[in-house]
Order: sequence, then C-alpha cells, then structure tokens
Amino acid sequence: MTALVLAALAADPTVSFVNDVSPIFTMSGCAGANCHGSIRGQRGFKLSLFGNDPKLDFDAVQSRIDKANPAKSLLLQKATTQTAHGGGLRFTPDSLQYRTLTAWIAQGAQYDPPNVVRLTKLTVTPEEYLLVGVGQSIQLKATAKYSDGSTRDLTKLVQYVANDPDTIQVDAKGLVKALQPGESAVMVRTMGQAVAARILVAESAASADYPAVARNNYVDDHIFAKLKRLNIRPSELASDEQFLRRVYLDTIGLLPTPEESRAFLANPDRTALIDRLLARREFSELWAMKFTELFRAGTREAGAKGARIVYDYIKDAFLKNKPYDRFVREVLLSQGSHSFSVSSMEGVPHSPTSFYNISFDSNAPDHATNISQLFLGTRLECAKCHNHPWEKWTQDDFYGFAAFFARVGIKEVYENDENAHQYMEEGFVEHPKTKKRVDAKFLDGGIVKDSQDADIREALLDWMTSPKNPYFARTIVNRVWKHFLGRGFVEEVDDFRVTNPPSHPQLLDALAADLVKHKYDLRHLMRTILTSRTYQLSAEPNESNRADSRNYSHFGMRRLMAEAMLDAMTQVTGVEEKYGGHPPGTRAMQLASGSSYMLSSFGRLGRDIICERDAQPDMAQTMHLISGSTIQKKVTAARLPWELNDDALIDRVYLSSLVRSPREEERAAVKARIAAGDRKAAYQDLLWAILNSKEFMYQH
Amino acid sequence: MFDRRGFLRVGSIGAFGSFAWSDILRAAGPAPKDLSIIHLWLAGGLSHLDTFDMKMDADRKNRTAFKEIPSSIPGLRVSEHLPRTAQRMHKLTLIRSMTHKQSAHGAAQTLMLTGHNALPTLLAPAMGSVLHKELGARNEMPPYVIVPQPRGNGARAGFLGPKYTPFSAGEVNVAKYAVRDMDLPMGVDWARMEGRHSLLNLVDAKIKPWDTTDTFDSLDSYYAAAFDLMKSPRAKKAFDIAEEPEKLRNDYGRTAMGQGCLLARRLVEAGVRFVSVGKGENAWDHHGTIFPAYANEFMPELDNAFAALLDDLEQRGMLGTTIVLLTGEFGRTAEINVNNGRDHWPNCFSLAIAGGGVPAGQVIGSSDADGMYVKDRPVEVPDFMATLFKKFGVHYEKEYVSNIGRPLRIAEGNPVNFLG
Repeated sequence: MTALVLAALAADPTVSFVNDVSPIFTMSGCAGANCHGSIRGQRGFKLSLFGNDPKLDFDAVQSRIDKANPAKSLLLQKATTQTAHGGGLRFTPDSLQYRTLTAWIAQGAQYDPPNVVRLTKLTVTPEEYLLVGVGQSIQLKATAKYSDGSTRDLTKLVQYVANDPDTIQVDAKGLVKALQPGESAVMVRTMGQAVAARILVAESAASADYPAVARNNYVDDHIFAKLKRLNIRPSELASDEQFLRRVYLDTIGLLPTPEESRAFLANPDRTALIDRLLARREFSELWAMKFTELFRAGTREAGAKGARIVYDYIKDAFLKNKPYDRFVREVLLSQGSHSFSVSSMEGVPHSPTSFYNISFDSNAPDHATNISQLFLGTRLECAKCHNHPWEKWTQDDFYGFAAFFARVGIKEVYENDENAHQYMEEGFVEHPKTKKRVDAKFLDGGIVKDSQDADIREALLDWMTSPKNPYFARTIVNRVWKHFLGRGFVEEVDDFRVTNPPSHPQLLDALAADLVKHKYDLRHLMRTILTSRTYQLSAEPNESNRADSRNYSHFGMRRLMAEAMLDAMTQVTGVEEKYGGHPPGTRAMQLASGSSYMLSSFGRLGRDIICERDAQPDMAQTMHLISGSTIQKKVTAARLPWELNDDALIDRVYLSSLVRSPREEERAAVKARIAAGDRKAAYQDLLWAILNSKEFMYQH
Repeated sequence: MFDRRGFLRVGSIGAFGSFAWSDILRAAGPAPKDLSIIHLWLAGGLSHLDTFDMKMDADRKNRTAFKEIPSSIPGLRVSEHLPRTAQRMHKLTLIRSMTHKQSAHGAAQTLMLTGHNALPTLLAPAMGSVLHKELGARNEMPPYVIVPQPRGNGARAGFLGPKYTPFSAGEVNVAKYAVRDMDLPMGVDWARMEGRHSLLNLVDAKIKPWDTTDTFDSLDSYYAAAFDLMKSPRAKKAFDIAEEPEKLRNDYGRTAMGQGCLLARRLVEAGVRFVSVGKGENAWDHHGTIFPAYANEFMPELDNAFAALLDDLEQRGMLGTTIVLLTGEFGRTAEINVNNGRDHWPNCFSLAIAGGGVPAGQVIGSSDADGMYVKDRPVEVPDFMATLFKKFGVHYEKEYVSNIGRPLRIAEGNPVNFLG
C-alpha cells in the first residue's frame, strides 16, 4: 500500500470502532456463535457474540492489526484469505468492509471517545412482506436510530439470516428471494441488537375461482384471510364422526362411548357438544395433568404428596373456572408447608405450596428461568451466563428478574415433605459479574425496590397480569392454541422473541385481548377456538394445502397424549390399568405423579427439566405396542359384548375406537379370520390391529 | 431448531419389509475406529478411599476399615476386597485425580455420562446416544444398551431425540432372563402376527396418505425394524445369556454386575457400541455402614465382574477394540460420618479404564494426604470425554444445535495425552 493511499484513508471521515468497525464482524459472520463469537472463540481470537460487547472486540483485535502497514494486519489478511483462514473468505480487498477497517487502522486504531453517538434502536422495513411467485424478491432496509436522535441507513452494514433457508434466500445486502411457498423470518443483526422481518411466499395469487369459505368466528377471519393471501385452500369441514372423536380426545382426553356417539350423530350440534364437554369433570382433570407437568410437580425430591396437592389444586381451579390471572397469582404467591398446603391468601382453601419445591437447591435464578418460560413465554436461560445471543435480554435483565424470588426460601423440617416454602425475612440476588446486590426489575425495565414488609412478588404479579403486559396473555393463548391445533403460533410455545415471530400475530393479539376482556376465562378462550371452523377442518389435505404445515389449512395430525392413549385403550377393551397406590378404575389422566412403562415410553415426562413432550415414535414404543404386556393384556382379556352377532360386534368395536363404521374390506377381512376358526382370536387380532393403528394413536 | 422430521425417508414398507435398524438409522460420516465400550456404571458414587486410593495413614477416625494388598504393579496397593482386580492392575490405567464440582447425584451423573453440566432447559445427550448418532448401528443391533435400564436424565438421548434413546436390556441376573417385548406374546406366532399386521395395514390404508410430514413413514420403519430385531437370530442369540457355560457365568458372578458384564460382552460381539452395566439406582450411595456393605456384597461383585470381563475380552481377542470403563459419578468424603458411611465427594475420585488401546499398567495423578483434593494432574470430565470420543474417531469439537438453539460441542474439553 502506498503512502498516498494511506494518507487518503487517514483523511476519510473518522471511523468509529463501535458504529462502523465492530458491526463488520457481525455482518461478515465472524462474530457468530459457531465462530469467533463462540464462548471460547476460535483459534485464540474471541469476539463478542453478534457485537454485544464492542470493548471486548476492540481488545481482541489489538494483536491482529498493524498500524504501520494496515494491509499487513492479520485481521485483514485472514478475512481476505491472503493468509490461510479456517473460516474462509469473509470479504474482498475491494469491499466496503475492507476499506472501513483499513481506514480505521490508518487513523490510529482508536476506541471511540465517550461522547460518540450509540445505536439505540434498529428497525427493518418492511416488517412483513408477501412475495407472490417463486423467484420474486424484495429489498429489505435496515435503519439505525442513534442516541442523538439521528438515523442512518444500515442496510449494507448488518447481518441477514433466513430462519428457513429452504423457503427464502437472503444475500449480504438484504435482498430476499423466494425459493418455495412458505414463510420465514429474516433475522437482522448488528451491534448486539436483532430484529426480524416476516417474509411470506405464495406460489401464485388467489384466482377468481378461489372458493368462498364459511366462517364461524373471528378466528376463521384471520386464518382464512392469510390462506387466501397465500392462495392455499383450506380442507373441507371434518365429518361429524371425525369432529366427535377429535373434540372428545382434545377436551376431556377420552373417546366418546358408543352411546354418546350415537346420540351426537343423531343430532350433530357441535357447539352444544363443545359446551357439554367443557363442563365435564374430565376436562378439569386433563388440564390439571397438563399444568402439573408444566409445574414439574412430582420430581423425585418434591415427592408424590406435593404433586397430588398441586394436581388437586389445579383441578379445583379448573372446576371452578378460576380466572387464569388469579390462578397464577395464587400459585406464585403460595407459601407454607409442602404437605399441608396452607395458603397465604385469605379465602383460598389451599394453594400449591410445593410449586417452588422443584428440588432441594432450587434458587432464585432457577425460579426466574422457570417462571419466565412458563408464564411469559420467554427463555431467559441464556442470559444467566451471558447476554442473550438473539434477544435483547442481558445478564442484568436475568438477575433483575431473579431478584423477585430472592426471598423465596425453604424452612426445613426433618422430613422433606414437611418442609415449607416461605417468603423469608431477607434474601438477595448478587450479579455474578459486578458482585453487587441486584434490584428486582421487570422484563421491560421497571425497577422495584425491596422493602422488609412487602412481598415484591405481588408487584411482579401486578405487572404480569396487567392487560398491557405483552407476554402473559399471549403465552397462555399460544399454549392453549397448540393444545387444540397441534402447533403454536409461536414454536416452541415458550420461545417468544423478536427473531421468532408468530405465524399469525394479529390473531394471537386478538385472542389475547379477548381473553383479557373476558377476565382471563380460559373456557371462553377454548370455546372460541373449538367452535371455529379452523379447528373443525378435516385432516385430509387437498392439492393446494398439502405442503402447508403452519397455516392451519388442514387439521394437523398428532399423536395422542400418552395418558389419553392409554385411557382410550382401556375404554375400547374394557380392561383397566392398575397404578400402585391408586384405587381401581383410576385413569392415567388422573395420576398426579408417577408413571408406567407405557406412559413414560409415550412421552409422559420425568419432570426433571422443563420441556415439551416428544410425540415422535421410537423403538421401545414400537416393540411395546407389538408385543408388550400393556396391549397384550387388554387384547387378551378384552370385555366385548360377545353376545352380539359379528356384524354388530365389528361395528361396535370400530365405533368405540375409531368412531366410524368399518369399511367393507375391513369387515370382510375380520369375517374371514372369524370363519377360519377361533372367533375370540379373530377379535383379539382386530383389537391389536386397531390399537396399533395410526388412526387410533393419532388425533385427526 | 432441531428437526426431528428430516430423517427416515424410507418409503412405504410392506407387512414385513426388509429394512433393518442399521439401514434406517445409519449416520453419515467417515469410517470410525471400530471400538466399543462397556461402562461399569457405579451409580451412587464409588468410594475411592476404600478401593483404589486408600489412605492408610489417615487418622483412625476416618481411616478405611480395609487392609491394603499388593497389586500386579509393583508398589501399587489396592483394597483387600479387590483381589482379582489387584492381579490385573497391569492391564489398565488407574486415574486417581478425577475432579469436578457436582455433588448431587443427578447433576454429577449427567456430567459423567454426557460430559456436560445439566441446565434446567437443556439436556445434553449421553455418550452412548452420541456414538449412535455419529457412528450409526452395527448389524441390526441397537447401538446403545443399558443394563438394566436408564436412570436419571444423564443416560438418555437429551436433545438428540428419541431415536437415540438407549435400549433397556432389563435385569439380567434372574432365572429366565428375557428382554422386554423382544418375544411375541404367548399364543401369537409369526404367522398370526403377520395376519394382525395385514389387518393393521387395512385400517391405516385411508389415513396414511393424509400425513404430510413423513411421521407415518417413520412409524412404519420402526415397525419393520422392530420386527427385524425380534426375528433376528443374531439379536436373539446375543441376549440369550443362558448359552454361556455355567463355569464362565459363575466366574463373572451370579450378580447384577456379573451377569450384566457377561451380557455386555455378548452384545458387543453382536455389534452394540456402548453398553452400560449397573447395579440399580444409586446402589453405590453408601451414606451408612459402608464397610460391611462393601466387604460382603459390593466389592466382591465388582471385583469378579470386572476381572472376569477383562479376562474374557482378552481371551477372545476383543480387549484391543473394547474399552472397559469403571467409574461412578463421584467419590466419597474422607470423613466417615456418624452412620459409618461416607458422603458425596466430587473434588477428587478414582476411575479405572482398560482396553481399546488404553496404555496398560499406569497410574495417573494423585490425591492429597486425605484423598480429598487432587494433588497432581487433575483430570476434568469434559477432557476425559473428549479423549474417549477421539478414540472412537468421533469429531469431538463438532457442535450440535440444542433444543434451545444454543450450540453445544460434543465434548467441551480437550483430549488428554495419556490414554493412547
């Protein structure tokens, strides 16, 4: 490099390390989690993750620059592969990045003076865009707002990453191209900040013959409007038989009895059926089971007794249709003995005091992780150890949230299950870096000072359950929606973040607002979902919607919950399961804790960590279904009305299990086996086949 | 986000397709070193102070109740209750300086079995599951088997998902040992099962094409693979421990560990990559009356199983390709508590490893006078795990994207240089 060029670079407008140089590492992919942004760096060179700590980046490059001869800087040599670089070519010598870096080095490679402006807000436009036709493209624009109020176009200085690279392609300058119909977010990152644009891709625009689709309520308006934009046609309405089986299993975790089926099919009033089911005791038991699992009640340390208290409390809350905000308030404020469930709240018969009793040593950071994920759909976990890589959450946010639980402690008694969770006289959370005591802080930044006489969890709950809280109602709406539709607007259901946008933001907002308006009445929310045509669509895809998996164009098939599956097997065969310590006739859905081989194999959780159940098949399940004792016992000892003639008996078996009539070839095959000899063996074979069938095991 | 749908595209399969486990679950990658590993899993925590690292000069209150005996390595002495092992110390590497900081069973077991610390929202896969994913299956055998069954989360597949879940072999030291669900139920022969399966296919015929996510195809594949495994003479034979001569079975010992180790050898012969053999949930957690328990039951059981396994593998020429690992999740306190037991102690403990090219007859590291802390050459678990993966030819620096999107290296440590 000649002296002349050097002088020219040095004369460039002053290059800011924070605002110009550090962003280069993010946009060029150097500062990613798999590269130099990794916790241990790469080959001795460690940058901050996506530029969240420019000072660290500044220190890191010191030994890799040559002020006397900028072009000889290892930093540039590596990035341009003039020197061998494991990460390959990041930019060329004629690029803007190269010129910026060279100028900064030539200007003396200084860190910014304290008064230089800082990025305060990053935005991307358009936030949502529909591309009609594969190959179509849209240019994104990234804009930065700075601490002095000024703005700057950062389009060429940010990193773009497509969440689903099969659907869209995005280049380094923000040009998005459609690859196949679908939907994907584009994450836009720089200087530790991240925002996202939602890009939809339709194969073609809806033509004039796009059918008019009937609607039942506002859910359908949102769902069908988007489908039309995407030119995807929804499936037909599910048949009465299909709807009947589906709504029973989803709502009360049971199959309809043959008598219930006949009654409904004679007078198929779907809304009336939904109302009857929402009033059933089994409905409350299903949600008691789900929440008991979410609360991880019944870990080994917390014990079966604690799990039973939690289960009974939740069941009672659902039986009484307790508003969800009140339910959560009671749970989070609970204190008292783990086995006697004394409540801190007047007028509440009992509350699940063992909610906090997940393990002996669970502490404020553990509670912060659990509670933010459970009730606010926010995964703070990453921010426990470092600032969150994709979100705005910092370690300060994490420990600020944890500080709400600083005084939650255990009063130990000799027997563990007689321990009590209490709100202690004192307790504080220390920031691991600053070693300073942290004030409690809401996720949106407001600070609450602890005071001796107050339980600051009350302030937290006021904030959480306020109608303005952006997380609380949306999180439960998303969970409930997933329960019935098989997929959350946001997936995973507890991973709300800017860079993981919902598939139907307006519908999510509308359902959340509706829930708040109806005083957190979960039955109202469920009724709205269940009565929608969207919920009642057939699972059979059509030509136009086969490839769609996230717009609810057809009912998404999924395996039954382990408990519902086992209980349904019991219903079909009339052979009950036995669970230790429970009276005969106990259903799997009524177990507060504990499990069986069958239930564990099919996804019932051990409750040691928070996670969603897995509904994927595996080898142990399959072998258990083929030859395991669970099905074998039920099939062998099946109590069928043997006095019926074969046509009637076959009809009854199909109606009680698949809620439909046998097809002619099915009837003929069973009859052929009966004719071959052993009638009872033939029905055993039929029951085995049905209990192993996809139509039985899956919700459809 | 981890995609569990992207696998298993094997098309439709008839009543008894010819797909074997190995066809379906094979992982891509370079040809591995064809090693196997048998882990004598002393869950609960083995006391190093009464077995491999005795402190005869400790004050009387905390001193072991056992005597030392010489071993096959001059100068190295071990517990009197490990007489057979003592004579085989020249065949293994003893590490006396293992160390970590997890003092609860669950967290320590997760660390020992996965190489990673447990987090509330992230569960790392056990080594056996990683070997399954990275190296695939041999023959139609499940790659990762646990005797009797997995306990705790650390032994499981974690975020890799259910297809890498360990296969449970069940309790082996029983009169008529059989694997759960391996045999057809009473009164059902294969002809009848085939008939049942054809009925099943009739029921599924209509709904099958409705699936747009390959889930049903993978389900069919599992049925085919399960039928293959159940019908496989190799698998049946591998699990048929009754085939072994009485003398050998007795040599291993008629105990959970003894028969478990013998079964492990048979499974490795048939193609299993990782077999864990345990005595039951936290069996080695001796907070009370540790000495009679060790002397009368635990140490003879371990001594016979371990020694017989080393001999058997050697005689069959398998020791060069089979790593035998003996460790619990931590050691135990130097202090003997009021119940005459020892409590959890992760700061320093011993581990024995043999076979698979591990140098024979060396002692690595040492503990301080009380056996409480490492004096020399601390060995961290992530480094030890990286070493094992490297021996298997698994790229231990490879990163998985976990369920919460956080990248996680197969092993976070760096291989040690003393295990060959």
